[in-house]
Amino acid sequence: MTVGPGRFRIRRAGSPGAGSASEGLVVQAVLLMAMVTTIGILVVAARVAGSRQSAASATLNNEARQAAEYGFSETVAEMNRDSKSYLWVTKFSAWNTVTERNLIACGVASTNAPSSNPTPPIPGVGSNVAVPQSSDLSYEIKDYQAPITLGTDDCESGTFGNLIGGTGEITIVGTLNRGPGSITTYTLKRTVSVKRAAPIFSNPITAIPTSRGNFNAADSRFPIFPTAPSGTRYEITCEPNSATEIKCEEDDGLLPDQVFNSETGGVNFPYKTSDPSSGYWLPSCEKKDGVIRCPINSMRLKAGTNMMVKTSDAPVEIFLFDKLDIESGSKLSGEDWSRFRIFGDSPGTSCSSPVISINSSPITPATTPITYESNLQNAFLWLKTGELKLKSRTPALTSTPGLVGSVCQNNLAGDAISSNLPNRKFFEGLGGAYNFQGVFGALTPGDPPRIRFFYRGFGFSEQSISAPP
Amino acid sequence: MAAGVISLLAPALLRQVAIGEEANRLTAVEAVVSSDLDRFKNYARIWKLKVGSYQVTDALTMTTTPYKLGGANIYDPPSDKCNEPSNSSNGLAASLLNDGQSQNPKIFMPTTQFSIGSWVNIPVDMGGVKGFNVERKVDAVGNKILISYRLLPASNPYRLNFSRNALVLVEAAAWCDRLP
Repeated sequence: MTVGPGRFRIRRAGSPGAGSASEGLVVQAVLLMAMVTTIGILVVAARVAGSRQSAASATLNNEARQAAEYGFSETVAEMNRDSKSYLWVTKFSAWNTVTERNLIACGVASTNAPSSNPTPPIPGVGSNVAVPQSSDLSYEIKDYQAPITLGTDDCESGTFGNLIGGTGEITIVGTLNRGPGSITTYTLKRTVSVKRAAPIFSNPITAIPTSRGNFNAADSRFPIFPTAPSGTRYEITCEPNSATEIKCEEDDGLLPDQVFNSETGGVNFPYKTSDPSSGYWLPSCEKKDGVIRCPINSMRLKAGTNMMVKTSDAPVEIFLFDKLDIESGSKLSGEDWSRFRIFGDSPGTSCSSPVISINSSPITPATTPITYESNLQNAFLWLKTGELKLKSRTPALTSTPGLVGSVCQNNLAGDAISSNLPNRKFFEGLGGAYNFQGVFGALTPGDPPRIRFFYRGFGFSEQSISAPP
Repeated sequence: MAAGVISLLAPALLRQVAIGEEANRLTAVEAVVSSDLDRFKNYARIWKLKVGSYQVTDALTMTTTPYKLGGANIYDPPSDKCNEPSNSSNGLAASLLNDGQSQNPKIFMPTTQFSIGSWVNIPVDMGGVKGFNVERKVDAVGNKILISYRLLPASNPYRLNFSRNALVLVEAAAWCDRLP
């Protein structure tokens, strides 16, 4: 056998220089083993190298992705700040040019008027921002799609998207740069829910006072107090009927007695049966603009009475003219507080009527840990004039969703405590009742809206992701 | 001849095997960091969640009213923390971390203790890789949690070098009336 460069040759049996047949077999076997061994080694090496390359590539990719995610969190946090929250509804093409005048015209709030100079409003627009403590990582905001409008109600010639909110989409590119030839990028595209946050008035632009006592129902900035239904104003007294039921009667015998379930489900106030289409127990309740309005002169919930108001079918509004007494251990609550509203409606300017008396005795539902429920809860309360009496401090309205909108400050009972519920809830109640735009819109066409909104982005879902090689 | 081939390729083979082990260790480090980070992200989703779709308890949400199961998430952040400056070390993120540290058991937070602003060790024990630690530092910045991980070559026998910075948003912040 001779071995030439790059090849070898096996001589035929019987030819000069050829060995025996058995020698040829041994050579073939050795060669075969060597080949198999070599191929095996190469395969193992290739797999190991591939694994290493794959792990290294994954790490690079992860780092670039982390830079993009870092940028996403930073961007959302920045856009959620009051001074920049207008960006959530501003089209990306207008981020550098939107002005305070644009914002006022469209009811968009900002604590700092955006500059009309063409400068990026937040870092990361048009340039890379380094990730702290990582000199080779950075991110850049590539695009933002503001919530879209489906109609033609664009405000200020296409500066803004949907001013109610909706879904925005942020595109951010994370970059890992370890020098020429070693750049890894990761494109992150996420949708974010955008909602209106607490509003502020634009006349003047100040935050609403936190103390309920500072609200003055006569303040011209408030919406117009709703008009009460004109029907009979009933006088109602309710008491426990069983462990799960209450019985209500009309004091003057104008109506047949009615049994309600104490909890959601079954028959709940103001309906006659569990079927809302059966009508209302109080015939003067009327449904107008999708809201059920009931005029009531007085309502008394005797000790231990638990009245649940059904709001799931339609919001319910009680127009109270004289008094509401919630006695010890009793509870008046709506299924959803922003859909159950009590308006205290009395003529004149006196603060003596109507009177809402709450004999605040804690109600302890079977919860662990034990919590206390207020005697009036899930109710939006707005008294044009009137008096709110709390018989004790515990539990105070502050610990419940019960809400005081506007009452006469001077006539509060001694133990009454101002609600410290955030303004947001107060206005959510108003918004639920009236639709913000309708109430706080411009008084006359052409005027700017009288109320302006901050915006917030929250939650996200991955729209698409890419990691170019 | 086969022996010759093997002796020629053996060093390269051993080196490739060593590289493979390093890859395994890196993968394990990535997995440990990812798992640890997910716990922070999850807690940032449920903290101060008043109404939501997650099966959690009041003890986890730390809300002032009982947690309710519902379709759309509603949070109830403490307004005093909302009003802290955006770079405050005493804002929503700090409050979340403090609440998270008091969780028992720690369902949504890392079981490894942490103190804000300090590096702590997280043992790596995944896929047969163990025997060294990754370090983690947590900082509160307004309504953001800055989480840094590192693995210094001098701190592990394999001379691995790793670093990662992540920023986790406190979801409840979007329900603040005011965010300066």
